[in-house]
Amino acid sequence: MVLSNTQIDSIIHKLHQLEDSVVVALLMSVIVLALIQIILRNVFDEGIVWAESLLRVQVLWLGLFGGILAARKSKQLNIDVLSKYMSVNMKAYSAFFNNIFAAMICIIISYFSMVFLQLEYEASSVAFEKVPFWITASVIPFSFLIMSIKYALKSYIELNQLNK
Amino acid sequence: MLTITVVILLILIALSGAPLFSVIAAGALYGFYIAGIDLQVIAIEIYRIAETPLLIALPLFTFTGYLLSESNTSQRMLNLIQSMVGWMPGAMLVVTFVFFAIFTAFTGASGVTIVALGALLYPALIKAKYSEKFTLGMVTSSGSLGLLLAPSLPLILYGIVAQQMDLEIQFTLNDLFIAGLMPSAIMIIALSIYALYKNKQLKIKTVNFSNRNLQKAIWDMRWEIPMPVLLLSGIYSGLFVISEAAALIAIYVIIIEVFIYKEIKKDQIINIVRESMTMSGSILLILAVSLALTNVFIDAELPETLFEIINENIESKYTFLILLNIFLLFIGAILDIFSALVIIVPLILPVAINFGIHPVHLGVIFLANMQIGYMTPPVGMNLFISSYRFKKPISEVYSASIPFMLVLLVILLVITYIPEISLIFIE
Repeated sequence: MVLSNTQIDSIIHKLHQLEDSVVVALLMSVIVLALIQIILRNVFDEGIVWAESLLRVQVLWLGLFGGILAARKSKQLNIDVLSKYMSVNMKAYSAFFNNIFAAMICIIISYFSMVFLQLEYEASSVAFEKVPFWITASVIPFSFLIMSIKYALKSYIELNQLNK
Repeated sequence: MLTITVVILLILIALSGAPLFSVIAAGALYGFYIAGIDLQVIAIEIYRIAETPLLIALPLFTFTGYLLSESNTSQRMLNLIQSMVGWMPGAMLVVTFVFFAIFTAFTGASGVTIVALGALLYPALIKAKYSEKFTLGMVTSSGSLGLLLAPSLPLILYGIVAQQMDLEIQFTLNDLFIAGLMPSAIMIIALSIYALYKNKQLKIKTVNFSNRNLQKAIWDMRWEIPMPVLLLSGIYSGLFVISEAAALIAIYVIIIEVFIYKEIKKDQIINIVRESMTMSGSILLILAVSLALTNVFIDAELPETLFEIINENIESKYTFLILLNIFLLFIGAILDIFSALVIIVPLILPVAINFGIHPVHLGVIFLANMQIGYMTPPVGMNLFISSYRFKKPISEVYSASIPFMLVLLVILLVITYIPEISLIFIE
């Protein structure tokens, strides 16, 4: 089955919506959990023991999913000094190269964190309470894989434009 | 030799605009590889984000800042300024600087002060017959004024980065917040004096004072005024931890902007979450890989080597400080503040401590430099934001901002060489 361009666009759109929903859900749950914790601690003088650990893990997830969003819109922080002096063509070449570079680094990080996760899985290490470490850390290989795909696609698009 | 080639190559890639996190990660991976450390360690390093307390404040304050800049808070601030001091030209300038600082502290130093509050004040100041050049300079300088006031994100991030480093001298975020108060006040006073002196010949058109307008402006802001008051008194008195404050403020701002003022529609929230988390995500990502790079530096004893080289050539603390200022101004003009913080602080903080500089004082110096770097030609970010927002050629923005930059440079020297200004209320 070959997908038409509009079908591909609509799939991409759905995936973007999914990413957005995950980020919204994560942020809202952070706010709510933090609030519950504040109330419990100050009013009832007790807190949920694992809340602090869960909140920190959520911040990691938020950060890496935020990274995915930034990769979508090419909004990663960068130093943009040389591009002002580049010709249009050179800019396209450097964008192509930079995206390939980012894709490579992301896939390396994704691969090695996957290997690490597997070891942790076999060792049954625990993040907090009974939550296994490999679950809380799974966001690392996953997010870098997604970022890698995004950068690879971007460089492919740049290449197509260069060929024109 | 190979290492030098790799470093130069990475710097070139960074300068050509590659995502900075990928360049830093590449450096860290290369460092691990050279040291014979299994590359799996990168996962442990990135996971340190989940082991850093306080970091939760970063996404939450970013979100709050975006919410505030999307609502009409800036319009209400303008109304309040005009009805309160619009009849008194001098006071108008002073109060405007104070409001700029507060708005920047809350919205992070992303230039949003220029776009949101500055853009409203610009026509108001022109209408009051301030010169265009002066107004442009004033508004441009506003984008980073307030960087040293709680709860500005760079200030919090400096504290987090420094606390990761196991320093001999420990300090809390509150120490940092207190240390930033006096330098910020001095900057506001100095800028105000310059502004008053500069405009003393002008016939400023004043707005008539009306008690009713003032009451209305205060009444309109009744939900927002308590926020900085509560937050600042809560933080500065030590009543809340910064992460709790961040959550409380986030929920409070959602309630007032969405349900009370009704200026943000519920479906708009998704956009705001997306934009703000994109921002905080790119900061956290850079932070994560920089933690790895910092460990590579420490294993390679780079801070020690750096200190030895510097110590061989520079003997006095003051020469070190002046060179540090020059270096940081340069860094501040080319790197965004968050990347500069996570890359440069781990390198220079140990060196500075060896020279007898208190880490809290270094934080103040660092951020003050970054603040000026934001408006340093040719590439300071505020200059471009202003040029874009007010549709002025960049050269015009340069010449308008330079006097303000010079004033801030003088204050930078003062706070660099008189550490007591920052440290007096600490210890």
